[in-house]
Amino acid sequence: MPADTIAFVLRRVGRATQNSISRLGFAARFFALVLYHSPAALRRVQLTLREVYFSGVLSLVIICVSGLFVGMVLGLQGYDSLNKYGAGDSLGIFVGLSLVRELGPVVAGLLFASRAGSAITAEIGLMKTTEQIAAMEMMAVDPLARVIAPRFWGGVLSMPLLAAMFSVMGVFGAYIVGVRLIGVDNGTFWGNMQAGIEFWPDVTNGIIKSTVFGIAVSLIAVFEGYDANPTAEGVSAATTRTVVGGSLAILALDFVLTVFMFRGLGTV
Amino acid sequence: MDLWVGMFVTIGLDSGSFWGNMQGGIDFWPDITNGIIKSIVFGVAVSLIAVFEGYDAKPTAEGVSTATTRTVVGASLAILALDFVLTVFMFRGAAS
Repeated sequence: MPADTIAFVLRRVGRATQNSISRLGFAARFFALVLYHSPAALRRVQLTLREVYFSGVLSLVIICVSGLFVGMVLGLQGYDSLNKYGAGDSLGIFVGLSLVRELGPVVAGLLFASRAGSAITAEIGLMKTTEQIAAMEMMAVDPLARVIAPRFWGGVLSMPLLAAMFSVMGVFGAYIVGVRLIGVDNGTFWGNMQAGIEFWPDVTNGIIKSTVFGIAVSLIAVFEGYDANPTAEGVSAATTRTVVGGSLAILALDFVLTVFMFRGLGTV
Repeated sequence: MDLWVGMFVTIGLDSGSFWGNMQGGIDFWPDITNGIIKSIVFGVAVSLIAVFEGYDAKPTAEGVSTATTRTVVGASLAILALDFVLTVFMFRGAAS
């Protein structure tokens, strides 16, 4: 390989590494600034409630319909696999555990990242493109307290609620398929589910997971929007980066959290 | 890699029974082909929704961003709904 090709490759690797490290540092400082400006933002609670409406209530339809379908598919495929071992009656506990522990937080988080996260990034990016953020700074209104922090906290608040709705709809979908369609006994389905799912390790860990995902996705969304190039291409690239980064963060954090949460229980 | 994974998560399943059971339980015809069919159907649906929403978008920055959100929402719903329908047709009669 000629020397200048090697130099070219090394230069590109070096630039990519430097870029990602400096962006990481910028994101960490941005997170600290958002937290610093949060009390001022939360004092005007109307701003945050408006964002809970935009990122939570408007995502409710997609979350509920997706949860229903995921639960129905879980019922079908789960019954298929469990029935091979004559354990078709355990459908309730299978569906409940997988939804509450994993699928509820993770799939709801992925949908949240692509629905609410991309909308937040596009909105903030467009505000930057049309120089609304610069105008706010001119009027001595801090955009971090007025624009960024309410969107961040709106996302953090709505994510656990959406994950809970997803799990509920999933259990309902599995009930429709398992009990109504396939014919698992109604009492066995609900009784097994109640006996097999504990509030402490299972449900609370699902809530913790979805809160962590909410923080990660909301931070990525507001950061990418604030950091976007103020052009149409820049905003669209930032939106894509939000969806990709948010989804990767959710899946990676899910693995780490699962290892720490369920490793000592002897159930995984 | 193995060492790193082993430090954190080791359940200690036997390697031979893991791969052997997988080979014994998964068939090419109903399982893998149906997975391929599913992914092709999802590809058609998602690509169609994406190009349609782009072509149909209002030619403003807000319009494009709304169209992007509509693409994501519609495509996710289409995938999950089609998945359920396809699963019913594919695996309901497999008697497994």
